[in-house]
Amino acid sequence: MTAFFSIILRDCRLSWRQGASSGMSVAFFIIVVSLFPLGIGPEANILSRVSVGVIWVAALLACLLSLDRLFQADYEDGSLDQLVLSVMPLEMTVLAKSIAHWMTTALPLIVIAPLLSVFMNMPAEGMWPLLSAMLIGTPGLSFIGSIGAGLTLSLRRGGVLLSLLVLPLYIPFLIFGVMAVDAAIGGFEPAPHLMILGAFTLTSMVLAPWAAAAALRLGLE
Amino acid sequence: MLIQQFQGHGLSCVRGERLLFAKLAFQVRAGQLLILKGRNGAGKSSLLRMMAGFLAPYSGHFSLDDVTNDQDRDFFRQSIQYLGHKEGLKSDLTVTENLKFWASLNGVPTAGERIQQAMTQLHIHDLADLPVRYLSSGQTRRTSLARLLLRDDVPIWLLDEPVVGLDHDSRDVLATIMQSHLQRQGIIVAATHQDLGLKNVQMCEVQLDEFVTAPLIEEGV
Repeated sequence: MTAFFSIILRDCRLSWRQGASSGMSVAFFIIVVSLFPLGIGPEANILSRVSVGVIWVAALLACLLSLDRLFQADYEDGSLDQLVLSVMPLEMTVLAKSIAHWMTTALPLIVIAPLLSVFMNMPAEGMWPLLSAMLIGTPGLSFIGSIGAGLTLSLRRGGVLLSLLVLPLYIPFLIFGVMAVDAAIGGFEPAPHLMILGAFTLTSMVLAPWAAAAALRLGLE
Repeated sequence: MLIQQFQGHGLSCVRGERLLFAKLAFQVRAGQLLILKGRNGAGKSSLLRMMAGFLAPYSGHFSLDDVTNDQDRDFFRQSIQYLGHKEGLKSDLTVTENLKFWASLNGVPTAGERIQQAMTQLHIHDLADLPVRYLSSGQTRRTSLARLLLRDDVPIWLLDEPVVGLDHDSRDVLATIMQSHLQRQGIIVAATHQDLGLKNVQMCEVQLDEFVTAPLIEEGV
């Protein structure tokens, strides 16, 4: 278990030292969301109608942005060899790295999301459901993303292929993440949608590390 | 954990549809050093990566005592330390942080003390708090050699060109480290062109050039 936490700690520390990766995802998130009012015009009704969707889509893309470095950095400097050979099963290593990815990428997005929801004139009733949906759903994005990152490990320009592989798998998260908030705004109970979202995240937490570990073993050959 | 002998049987390696070597066999006993020789591209590194389990042999298998690599992958993984061309160190972490991470990843007991000892032995203790990116290549190499010392209970060491980038003194230190591992009845497999400077050790050699048999391609190995 110490080994598990030491991987999370190491990746968080690295991300903090390098600074750029977390900061870039947040900056990307803010810029994408703020492009919409400029594009569709400042009409408050329209903005509030699209606000939830825009925030979720921007969050998905921001999450995707840093995924290609998830294993690639370790692959390039040889750390991945050592991680594979270590006493810890590779599946657990992948899980730890996905959790670290979530903490360094998605968590900052969740912190900044309320500000952007005000910016997009999202109805106030949607605020808590939006935050809960992001908290519940974004870990799943990192878990599923680890499969794509593993599969594109040895490709030089894997970023685009990674998006093609991973984005279709993000669709359920987007649909139920948006529906939870829309339900709350419309006066309904968001809980069922949040539960389904939670189910997706838990399923991906169990299955994705196995798939990603298998992909990594292939990639190292 | 003591391994009496490490064997390879009928090994062939195919990289990029090219047969590097075929029907290679070796045997190394506890306390022996096996040196892999051969021209550039003969497959020394590939053979080492095969031994470490990163690369699946095209044909043939390895065995530790009576256990083959198909039977128990975990046993193999836990009995092997691999030091490749790439150092496997994070350039943004300090020397101590890197070593601490590897120690806790592999559950090394009394890690703090052993890291101090290893750093003193390899003369990198005064670099302890320096990020690895500021080290020279020889110093980086010594840092990754420290990993061998942290887990000296692992019986089999696979070293790929271990003396590259090391100055004369560091070579002597490495020779001492290797010698004491052999005295503990450990096994070392090293791919190198240079003299390792070891005295009074049982050495055997595999000349990879002898196993390059081109006509085999037509026969389909």
